Amino acid sequence: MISVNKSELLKEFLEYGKLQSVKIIDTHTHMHAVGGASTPVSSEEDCVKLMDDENIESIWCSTHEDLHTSMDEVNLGTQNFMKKYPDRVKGYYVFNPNYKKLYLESLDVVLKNDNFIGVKFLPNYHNHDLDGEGYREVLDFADEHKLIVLSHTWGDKPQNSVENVKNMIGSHKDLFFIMGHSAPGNLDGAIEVAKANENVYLDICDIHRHSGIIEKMVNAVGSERVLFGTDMPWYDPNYAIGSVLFANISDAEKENIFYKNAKKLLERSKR
Amino acid sequence: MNNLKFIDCSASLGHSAINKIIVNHENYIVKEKVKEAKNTIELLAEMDFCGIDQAVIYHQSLKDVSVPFGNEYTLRSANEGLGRLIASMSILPSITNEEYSVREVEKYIRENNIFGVRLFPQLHRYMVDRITLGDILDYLTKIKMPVYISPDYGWEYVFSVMKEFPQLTAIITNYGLWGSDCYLYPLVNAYKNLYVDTSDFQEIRGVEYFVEKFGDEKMLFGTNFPMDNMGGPIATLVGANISLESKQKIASGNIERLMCEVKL
Repeated sequence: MISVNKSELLKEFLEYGKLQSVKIIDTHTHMHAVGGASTPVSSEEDCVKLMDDENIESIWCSTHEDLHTSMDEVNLGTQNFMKKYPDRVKGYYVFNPNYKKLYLESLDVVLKNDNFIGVKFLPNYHNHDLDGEGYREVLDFADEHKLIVLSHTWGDKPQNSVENVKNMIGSHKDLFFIMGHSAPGNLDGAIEVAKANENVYLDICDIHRHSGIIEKMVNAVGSERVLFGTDMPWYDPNYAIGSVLFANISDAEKENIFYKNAKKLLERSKR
Repeated sequence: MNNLKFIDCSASLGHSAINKIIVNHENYIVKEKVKEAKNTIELLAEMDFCGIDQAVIYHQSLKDVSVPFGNEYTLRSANEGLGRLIASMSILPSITNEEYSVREVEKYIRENNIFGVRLFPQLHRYMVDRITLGDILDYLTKIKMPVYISPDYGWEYVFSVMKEFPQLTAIITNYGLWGSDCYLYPLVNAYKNLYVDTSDFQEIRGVEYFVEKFGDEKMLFGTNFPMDNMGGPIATLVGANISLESKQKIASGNIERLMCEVKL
């Protein structure tokens, strides 16, 4: 076998089947089973065990039931998960504009519960424009309190396209905006927005799997603006870890993506 | 661990007309710009960087141009591959294209060391059934030549092919990133000559669960490059909690066995 990849981190992974010297923060996860995909592992206990196995220090999470149903009391799934594993799980408060009053009423919990780091949007799933009236108050709230906002973005989906992000971000300079999936189908546009706005981060979740994506992100915006995300329990962390480890970037840049960027973002955000 | 020998069961080279139409899951495509390998040199360089020894390849022009043109470029690329690239081929119905009769295909396979036949029925507008391809698929079944089948336009197609040709040696490939166990497991359970290309097999702890249920002989390491990067599938296998022996079978042992089983 011929190999010209000099990465010590890669060597370590190939030797032990996991990263040992670098911890990971996974900034884009969910939890529990979901109808659209097979998930052999989806319970909280099994996922935390998997985090132990893969040296994942913590995850930033919104549970599937919080994303896709609306109960009398919202975001309970994530709150219960955080309560059970306070050192391992940070939460996104899901905001569904279809029940705006309900979600606005309890939004304060984000400030009261230290394990909430911000809010999570699924604009095209929830059928609302990211830059529309449905999200206006919650974006202003996130901006005022320097919260992290993780929004699903997709290249060909008008309600959470790059254009929607561009329209919204100019008037929200104090929040920290993670472009979930980095708008697959229009990564060039996502990069353009990140270049123009220091508070915008690229998320590798899903899109990392294609050839050359990690290098492209790092070369365009710098490794400090790229965050590690897996969509767990949809996908195995090892695939995303491999996408980063085998990328033609330095080990220092890999460490930024795996851990340091998320750590710094946590320090900068929220009050 | 890092001494695993990798043979990629499915890689592509050549610039596509649109860089790149990617299957996200059945009937759902994403068009994103990815790093392609323009030619043999670039593909070998990528394989070297990732530590992949050999690959079964097809040229993108099989999809974008035509079967004869794509077969020629696939073969030309493989011949430039320093013994590391193995050409697959594609076919058309022999009733319309005599150069794909059993006799001609047998000759082409024999003369060019072909491994694997790829079908693009939606792109090339034909049916994969006994009426249209019965002669050639019976022949490929007989000689145990693998046929690559993708559910990129839906899993009904895969099920219908396997129902009609249950002894066919088939490799399920390019099925997108959403976990597909509810489709895949029944197929693997029902058809003893059906194999799964690992390139899109991203589901959480999916390799472990698959191996536990079906053993380690039904998976073939693949990258689906450049729709997938090469590192993701490597790390998924290396990081899986299965034995080193099982990893080696999936990485290259199983496909080497299939190569030996082809009887011309």
